[in-house]
Amino acid sequence: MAPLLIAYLGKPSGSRSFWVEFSVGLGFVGFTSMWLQFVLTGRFKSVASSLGLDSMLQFHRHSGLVAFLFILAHPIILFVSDPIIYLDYLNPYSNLPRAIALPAVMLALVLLIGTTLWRERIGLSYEWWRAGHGILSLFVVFIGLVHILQVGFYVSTTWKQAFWILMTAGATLLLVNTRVIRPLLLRRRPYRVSEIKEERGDSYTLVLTAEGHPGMKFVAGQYVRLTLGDSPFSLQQHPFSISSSSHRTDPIELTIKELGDFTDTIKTVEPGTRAFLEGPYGAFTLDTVSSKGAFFFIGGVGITPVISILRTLREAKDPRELSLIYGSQKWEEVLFREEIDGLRQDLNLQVIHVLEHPHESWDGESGLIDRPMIDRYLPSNLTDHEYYVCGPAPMMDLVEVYLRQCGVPLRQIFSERFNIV
Amino acid sequence: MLHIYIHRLAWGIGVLLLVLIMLLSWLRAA
Repeated sequence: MAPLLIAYLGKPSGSRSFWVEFSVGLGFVGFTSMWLQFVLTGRFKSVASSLGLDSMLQFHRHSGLVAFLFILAHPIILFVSDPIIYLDYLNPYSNLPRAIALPAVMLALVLLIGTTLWRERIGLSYEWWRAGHGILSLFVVFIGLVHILQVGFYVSTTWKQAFWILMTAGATLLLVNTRVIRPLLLRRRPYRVSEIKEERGDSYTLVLTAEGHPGMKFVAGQYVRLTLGDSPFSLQQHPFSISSSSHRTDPIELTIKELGDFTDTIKTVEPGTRAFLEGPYGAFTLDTVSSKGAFFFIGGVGITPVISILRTLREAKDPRELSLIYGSQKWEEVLFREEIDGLRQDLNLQVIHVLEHPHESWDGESGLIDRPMIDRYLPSNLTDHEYYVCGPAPMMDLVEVYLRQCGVPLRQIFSERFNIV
Repeated sequence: MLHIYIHRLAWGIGVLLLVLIMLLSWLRAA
């Protein structure tokens, strides 16, 4: 609201109707919300490690949509409230650049949102989506700035103009920082793929050895953004959980499941390939000094951050009570099956495998993780545990909501989602 | 923070902003 109040400071050069004021208000707040998206996606480590980068990105997704609706409503309300004056903004004979720029910016906004909501449906790759998302959002903010300055009703004084220009410059710098400066800094800390291990369930573990530096300190459960190849400027930067123990900073292991996109190429990566890791990020971590037990609800490849946590706890000989409800498609596809079995000997760990497609002789849990199943295993002393949820979105939605309904405090539930677009 | 709360927070802020803008616009136009 601050920019709107700044806009209202000083004497207005005339009075306008409620609908015009309302529409302009929506425009200003929508523009500022767009600007805020650059701050949200700036990947600040201090914020990312307390709130979780995925939470920030989820908030970006929803608040970006709200900003879009505000900006969309801005011209629509004006066209309806006073078509004679405002439809002239689209008249090329009145002002050709304006008549081109304003529809172009709306088209850019529609593309920005459309490609995000339906990226997979329209067959757009993550890499091209990410490149386009940055360019389109910069375009929208720049045209927005020019539009604000050109209309000038609330921005007539120099300090107000400077405020909007500085704001836009700040947004640009944040994007340049994320997309250019950080990759530049990453060049100083390269890694090399030393081994690719095939795992169960179409998954592969990349072993990455630090070159000329001591590796990366991280907390078990965190993730990194991986770029493969000689340049950290590649469009291909993808988030993956670290699966190795946090007691070891080098080499670092990432376990990646083939999901029909970039992940399908992991098995073809040659040992010796150069890699860059940005991070670590994420708040899906276990407090090492807490005496609380931990309960993990995991689906499929969601096991990767948890195997890192369990490996770390094993090395620390942690005595706390641990439970793992672990959903997989088939018994043969249970990622880290043998190691988890071994971890049961070393840790106070209870494992409940849930198979979606069990074989005939299977006598364990089957189907999808649901409420009656959760009831069978939830501890009676609910608040003495911390709860970790990672897996397919429908499972996470179900478990998160149900844990809250059962009375688990919000600060004791940790979750990590990667499928944001 | 959990997904459902993030969703509610973002849209809640959106609705709050909408109401505030309406109120301010009404005051400005009056």
